[in-house]
Amino acid sequence: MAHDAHHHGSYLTPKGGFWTTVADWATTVDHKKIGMMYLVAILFMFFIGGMAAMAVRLELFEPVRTHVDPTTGAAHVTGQLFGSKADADAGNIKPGNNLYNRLFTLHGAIMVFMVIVPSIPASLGNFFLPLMLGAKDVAFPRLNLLSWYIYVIGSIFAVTSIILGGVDTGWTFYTPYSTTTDPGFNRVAIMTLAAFILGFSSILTGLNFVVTVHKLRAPGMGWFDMPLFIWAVYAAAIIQVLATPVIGITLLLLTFERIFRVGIFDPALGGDPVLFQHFFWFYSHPVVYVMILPGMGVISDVLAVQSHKKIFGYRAIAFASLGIAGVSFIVWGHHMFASMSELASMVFSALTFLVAIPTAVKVFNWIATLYKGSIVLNAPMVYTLIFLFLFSIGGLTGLPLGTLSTDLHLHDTYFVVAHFHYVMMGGTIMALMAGIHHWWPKMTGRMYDEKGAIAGALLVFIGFNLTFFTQFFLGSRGMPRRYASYVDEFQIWHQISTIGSFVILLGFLVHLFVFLASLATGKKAPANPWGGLTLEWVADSPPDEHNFHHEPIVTHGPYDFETVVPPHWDPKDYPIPAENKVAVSHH
Amino acid sequence: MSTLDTRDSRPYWQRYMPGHHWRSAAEEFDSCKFGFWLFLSTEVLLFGGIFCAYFIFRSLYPGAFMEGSRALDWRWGALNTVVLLVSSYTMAASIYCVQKGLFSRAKLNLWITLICGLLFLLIKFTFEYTPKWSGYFFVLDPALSHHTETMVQGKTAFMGLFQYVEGYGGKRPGSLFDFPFAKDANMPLWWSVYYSGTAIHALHVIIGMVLIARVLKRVGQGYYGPTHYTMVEVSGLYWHLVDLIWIFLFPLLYLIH
Amino acid sequence: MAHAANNETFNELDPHGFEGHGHHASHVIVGPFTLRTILALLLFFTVLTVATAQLETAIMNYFNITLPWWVNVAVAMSIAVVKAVLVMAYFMQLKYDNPINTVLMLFTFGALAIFLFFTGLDLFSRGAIDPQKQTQIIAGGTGSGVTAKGNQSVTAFARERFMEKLLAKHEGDKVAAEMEFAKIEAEMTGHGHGHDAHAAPVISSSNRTVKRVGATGALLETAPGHADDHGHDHGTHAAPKAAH
Repeated sequence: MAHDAHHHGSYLTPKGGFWTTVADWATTVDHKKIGMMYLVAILFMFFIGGMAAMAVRLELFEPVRTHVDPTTGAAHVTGQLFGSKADADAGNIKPGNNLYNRLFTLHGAIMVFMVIVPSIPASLGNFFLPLMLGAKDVAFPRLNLLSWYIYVIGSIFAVTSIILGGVDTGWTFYTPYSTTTDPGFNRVAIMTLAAFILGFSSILTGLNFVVTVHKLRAPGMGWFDMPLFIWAVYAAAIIQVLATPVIGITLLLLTFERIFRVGIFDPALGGDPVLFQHFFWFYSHPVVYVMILPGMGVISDVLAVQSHKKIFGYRAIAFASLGIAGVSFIVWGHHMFASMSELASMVFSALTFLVAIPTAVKVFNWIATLYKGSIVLNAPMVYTLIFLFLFSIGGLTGLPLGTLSTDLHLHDTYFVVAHFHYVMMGGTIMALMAGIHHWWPKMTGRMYDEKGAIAGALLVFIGFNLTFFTQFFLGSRGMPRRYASYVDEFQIWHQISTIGSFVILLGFLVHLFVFLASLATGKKAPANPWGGLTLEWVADSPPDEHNFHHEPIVTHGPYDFETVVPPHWDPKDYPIPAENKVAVSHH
Repeated sequence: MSTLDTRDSRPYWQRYMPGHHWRSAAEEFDSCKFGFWLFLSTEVLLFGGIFCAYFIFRSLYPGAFMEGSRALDWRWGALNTVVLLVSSYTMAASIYCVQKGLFSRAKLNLWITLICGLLFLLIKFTFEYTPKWSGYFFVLDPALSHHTETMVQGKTAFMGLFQYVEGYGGKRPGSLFDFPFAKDANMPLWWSVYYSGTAIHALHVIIGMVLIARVLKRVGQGYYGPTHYTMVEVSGLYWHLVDLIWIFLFPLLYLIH
Repeated sequence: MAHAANNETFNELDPHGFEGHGHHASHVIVGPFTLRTILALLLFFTVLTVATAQLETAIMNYFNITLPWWVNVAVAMSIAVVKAVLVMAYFMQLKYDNPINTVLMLFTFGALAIFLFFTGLDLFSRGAIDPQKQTQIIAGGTGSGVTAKGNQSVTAFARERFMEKLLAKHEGDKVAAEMEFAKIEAEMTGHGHGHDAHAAPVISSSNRTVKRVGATGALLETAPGHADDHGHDHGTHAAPKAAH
């Protein structure tokens, strides 16, 4: 078992000088390096998108009011941070290019396309899918590198569009505004091309994962011996492959529409703007399940390991992942209740309720797993509990939005904004944080400061609720979304929300500090600090370039905590009653 | 060969070793095919968007679509269909030849496939797109004989190869539309659907030809053989998909009655 | 292949599956006879597609009936599906492959079917429950922001532009310009396949309007798309007959 530690080093060991290392990372086909590069890029884009959100919240701290001096008749505007009315009147700001609109579009587009969709699959998925399967790499390593570069190019396009002044259509690019606005400059075209390119990155990653799961499992690992993280990423990968091309053709047609005025979505030329909405949401609804499914997979794994208990209902959770992926394709109309026919709205509303079933199965199974588990309240577990709380609220608030009659009042209000932030940020981002902390020792070979991480987690949790819970009140009382101003009675909620956003920022800064401190001076991590049973814990921390020293052979399930000694653990430290003992884990 | 001569002089396809993360070459081959079918499914859904737009607008404006289809010459469309079907056959045949080690026959089949692709594009651009968009007919175009009255004598382009016909061109999408004799007011929309569909398809024909050209070159260099022909198979799959899309586009666009 | 990849045949004594059948097990060779047969079938079905389309027109002209528009689509698509299945099964070797590839394509076409079905469900049922919600379709679109006048369809605008060009050519002689317009139009509409030389089948109008009740009804009385003729009646087929 003892190997020559000086022989290989890990995947992080530099191969030579600075430029050699840069060239190595730039041309690598090693899934671990690609996963790390994605992780850094995603966290960076998260910061940029977050800054845009802070700007939006700052604008909303005060409503915009124009005071007219009764004696002089001069107008005096208060509460407006970005783009004053006076400026617009004086012609200094092009009409329709209000900076506030550009900021929330920027926030939405970056967060959706560059952060949340790739977040867990591209970073943790790339890193751990082959490791958990016992494979040396993904099915198509060079395609993986191509996927990374496509992501970089797409992000450059998006940033270019922002630098040139940005887009104010909202991240949903509804027509005919998006096809007719800003005619000379075509910043919209650059941004839609960015999203088009990023779509290909997503498709290639999904493709890679599907083939890897089918073909590269270790000997002895059947479909039902895989960790649930794999099931979740696999289901998300299927959605990525089937749904993303439709946003591709949508954005392509949108670009044609802008350049050639082809008229498919423009009523001025006989087209139909609701057709655009169908095209757009056919992708954008399944993609929210691409966002959440890998997060749920992370939670399944982290929860089982950190409560050291076999997951309750393995097959139910596995099939629920596939069920969510399947149902996700038949519910997209619930984003369009206000613009569709009543008949279609009723059908979509009924179908939307279906997706709650597999989701609830998962949540109940997680809670059942926690019951009588030996729970360790470390950062991954704290984030898991935060996820369970926030995601449940998010999911439950989806019900009034899926119900046709109530949605007609709540559509395009802050209720929707609060709902999707609870599921996307309270769900995926919290799961991402749980996963990063859980696998940090494996990825970097270092431990992080537990107290600092939990402090960060609590700050994020408190800040998150301050920011977004108040938005449910705002929405149900009628505050519309994407508005820079509002009536006076909403101000207190907006102010609490803005203060909450600063608390979130503080929480993430604490995390940043904890991570940097860990990289600089963190304790060296053992190969299996938490006692996990899945194959990634067999590998070293950080893993060797070729992942494993010998191809692992799987002889037990991924969550058999009662019967198997975890890899790298001394059996003396892990007493198993004789009648339970099945195997010592490989290595 | 002397014992000092360690260079392996076998052709590349005999020396080929699968990627180190695969258990065998056969597994790599199967997985590459599976992966490529996943990519083909994305292409099907990409064109699916066009078919959806077609479906919606044909249902809403059947008159425009009927008039628009009459403006297309189904004979060019049928010829293009035959060209692509033959090219599909030669592509599949070239795979057979590579599997059997009949390399010069494989190259011949690949050349025919390429030429068919080129012919498809030529027919499309010269006889279909150019006259409709601009009114300039290729001088050898048989349709020109129907327009002897409206031909503008002396107005030619491209070194006299294209002849202008008054009042024929302008069949362009959306706000570029400039054809004066449209009976149905929704003709620009028909042309939008027509051009979007066929142009994206033509782009895929070009991509397919690039793939086949690369395969052709490498067959000549001994890259592919009976035990290693993954790229040939994959390029073949792409080309067949291009053919498949056209099989659906042709009746939907050209044969509306 | 008896490989560890296929876990049903996992062999504990040979976990890495080196004692397999060998490389060629999965390499199916589709022979030239099969390929040529399939090509012949495909060409036959192509001819059939064209023939059925022309048969429909012949039937409509001979019996003087109107077949619903979807008949044409249904027949053509059925034949196209048969051709597609042949290409996928034999040329693309789905028949000989791992069934997962076929399952994948079935899922793909299923997703496409879902997309078309639900989109159509919405767009064609607008007036199903509340007739007032039926959208009024203005032939050619509203034209706002598109054409110079801002309230006419693109087709009318193109017609106008051409007329102006002819007027300029004839130096303001309106009669001569209109004569030339009619002459060119005759040649344009006569060009084709002779279908409209005889009585064209009556097709459903491209403009399904529903009279709107309530406050907005009056606003849409004078739908811009209709009042654009400038004397050219583009709804009839009368002109070509004279030329013949």
